[in-house]
Amino acid sequence: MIRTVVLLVALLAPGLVRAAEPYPSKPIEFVTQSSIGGGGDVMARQIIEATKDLIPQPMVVVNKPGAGGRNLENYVKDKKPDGHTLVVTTATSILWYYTGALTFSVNRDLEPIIRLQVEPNLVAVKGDSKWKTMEDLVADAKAGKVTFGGGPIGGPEHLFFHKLARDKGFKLNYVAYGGGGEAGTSLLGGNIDATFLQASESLDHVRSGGIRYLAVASARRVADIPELKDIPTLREQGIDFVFEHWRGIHAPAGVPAEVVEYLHARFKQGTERESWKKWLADTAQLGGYLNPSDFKAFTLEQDRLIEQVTTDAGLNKKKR
Amino acid sequence: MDLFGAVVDGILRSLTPAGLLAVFVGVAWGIVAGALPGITASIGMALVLPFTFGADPDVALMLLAGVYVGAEYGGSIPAILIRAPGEPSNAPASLDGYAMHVRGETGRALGFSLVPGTIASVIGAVAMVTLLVPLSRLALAFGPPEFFALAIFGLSAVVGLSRRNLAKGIASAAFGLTLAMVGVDDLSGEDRFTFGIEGLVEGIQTVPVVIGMLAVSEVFAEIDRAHEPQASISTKVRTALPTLVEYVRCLPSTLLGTAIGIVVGVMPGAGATVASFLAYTESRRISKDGARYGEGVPDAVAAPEAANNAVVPTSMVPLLAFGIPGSTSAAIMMGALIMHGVRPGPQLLTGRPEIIYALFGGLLTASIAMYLLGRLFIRPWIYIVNVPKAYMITSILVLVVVGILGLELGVFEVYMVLVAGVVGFLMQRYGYNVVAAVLGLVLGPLVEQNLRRALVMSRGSADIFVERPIALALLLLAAASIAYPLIVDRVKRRRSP
Repeated sequence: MIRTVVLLVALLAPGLVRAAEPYPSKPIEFVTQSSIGGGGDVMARQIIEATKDLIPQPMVVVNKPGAGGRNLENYVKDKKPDGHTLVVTTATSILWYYTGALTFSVNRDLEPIIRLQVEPNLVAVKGDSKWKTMEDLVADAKAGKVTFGGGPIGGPEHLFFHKLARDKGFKLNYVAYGGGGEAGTSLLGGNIDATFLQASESLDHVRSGGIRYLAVASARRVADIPELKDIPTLREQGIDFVFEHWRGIHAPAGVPAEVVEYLHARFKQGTERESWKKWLADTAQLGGYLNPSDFKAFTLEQDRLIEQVTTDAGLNKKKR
Repeated sequence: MDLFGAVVDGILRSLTPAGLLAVFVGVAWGIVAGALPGITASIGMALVLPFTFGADPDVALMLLAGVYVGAEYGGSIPAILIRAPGEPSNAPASLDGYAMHVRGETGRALGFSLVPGTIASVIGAVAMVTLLVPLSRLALAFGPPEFFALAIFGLSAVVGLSRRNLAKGIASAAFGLTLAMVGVDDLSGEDRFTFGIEGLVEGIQTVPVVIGMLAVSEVFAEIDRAHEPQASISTKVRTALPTLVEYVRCLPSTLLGTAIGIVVGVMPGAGATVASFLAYTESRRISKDGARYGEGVPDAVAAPEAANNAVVPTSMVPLLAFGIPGSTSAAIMMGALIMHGVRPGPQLLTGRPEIIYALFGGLLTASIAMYLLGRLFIRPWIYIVNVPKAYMITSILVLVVVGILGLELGVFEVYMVLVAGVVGFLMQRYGYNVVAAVLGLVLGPLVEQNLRRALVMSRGSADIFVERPIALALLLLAAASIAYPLIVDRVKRRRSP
């Protein structure tokens, strides 16, 4: 009996000692679905750069692109929720759960740490087109005169135009591209008439007159960017759709609360630094700080919205 | 600042110690990465990107430009030596280049890749900086109908590729087109022909199929002829390089390849592989040795190798002009710029043009660096290959497997390479055309997706291909290129009963 106890203690002791080790005790991995140089990848590298003197362990980016997010999930699912594995999440992390191959639910399987960025999505047409409002565009779409386009089926662009067509009662002509900005050249080249773009990737074209915005898919007008402050929201134009492109950091569910607090405090400090702010401004991006509980409330709200929109549109692939 | 001054400034920046170091390190790594089957140019660039964080944006660009330039040449080395194209875009060069190597003309084959590649790289860089605006308009002029027509034009080359047996050639291309359909369909979001196998969700990748069908199948063929005695060829013959006269003789096909590379490079989504295949099949029409393509003809190495090097600078045009990356490599360049707080777009030319000229300087210096490093290492490469076949074959298989694992896609791609190797071996044994199959696989997505996109645009009417002049012209060219060899053959047959 005594021997068993001794043996048990001996077996558990290293575990106890390790549990007492202060976090972080080894390098921290940021796992992203972006390939190197992609949006989530670059953001992760920037936040690492902004906080590397605040966190005493090396931080590295691990890229797991492809297979509609399944590669990332396979990598993350066996990791311990000890805060040494973090996941770079985006707006599509929720969307592809319903319309694509993802099996991770952001709200069920991940724990929020911080939201870092949010970017408005805008309905864009060519600068020399005749449409000035969503109403003009919808009227011509009803006459079959508008070709819409954007990323793959089930992505944000397709979801929005699909919903628009259903609500307004027209037949959707949608040219799907594989991503990588092909839809942007297609709009500039006049092969598609309207698409859905993020502000950072299209502002320059608005300044040069190549592209015009008809509406912003945010809850209210975006006052922080001069070119956007007069762009009306979709809601103002009678279309109920809010979908912003946010990015943030999550950890696998079960991560200790003190680790969340530790990381949140330091990442927040990083976002208050000049270098981070300058980088956002130089690349036409907006900050979008949310603390863990607000971030949780936000993703829950997003989840409800996307579940409803995808179900209404017949694009919800989740089996109940 | 006038254009000339700006260009000189860009070149001078690439000649500073930091610039030169970045370019030479980039090119050297690019040649190695390119030469490893499985590590493509974009993976090679992605691997060095994190190291550019602390550097100035222009130095980061020069490093990446160096990697990209070096990789397009590096990929031709294993293509010629062991018939394993390091990049899919080196597949055409592996046909005649490897044939020359087998004949003992290894040095000549490598020379016909290096020198035309360097010439094309320089011309391409000059075209990028001087024709940025017209080339960017060309990128916009290519919509789905034009891409479809271009891909059909590329496919029409099958007829020329398979004169010996047209039916088997067409069957091979159709096989490649079918392989291209496997995986998630971007246009509907549905899985196709995946049979529930997770590894097939992303589709049948070009890299493992090209390496399997060309390199691994050759390994199996070597094993099959293991009992035949190995011809010994003197090192003197092996290391002989092409003479100046021979390079000049290849100039027309080099320039044709360069022109094709410049034009195709500009188009988002087409890329170096499409360009080099088009250059291979089109140069055949102007080459004196056109009838002997496949048997080891200098033109057949020079043209595609010029094309894939010319693609490098012009594939940056959509990125620099619109802020839209047209290829994976351009997307990595864009990532580097954004990481350094530079957002490429139409205002780059007016706001921060020095970035464009620094990139130009980097590309130009990288071309020279590629020539110097390539020239320096031609002989050592050849000595490496001069080992007995048994060791060679084993090393090739190891290299291929390690290279594929380097793609980080896991062991599934290794199985794919081996299966493709068996399929390629059997196809060649029974007279089918593996190159036509690879061509089908590369062009398949371009043909299918753009056909469907064009029909969405036109609400289902095929008139869109006739109404748009560029599409129509390309389709007529395709029809001519199908008809021409058939008519020539028939006329020849009638004359010689």
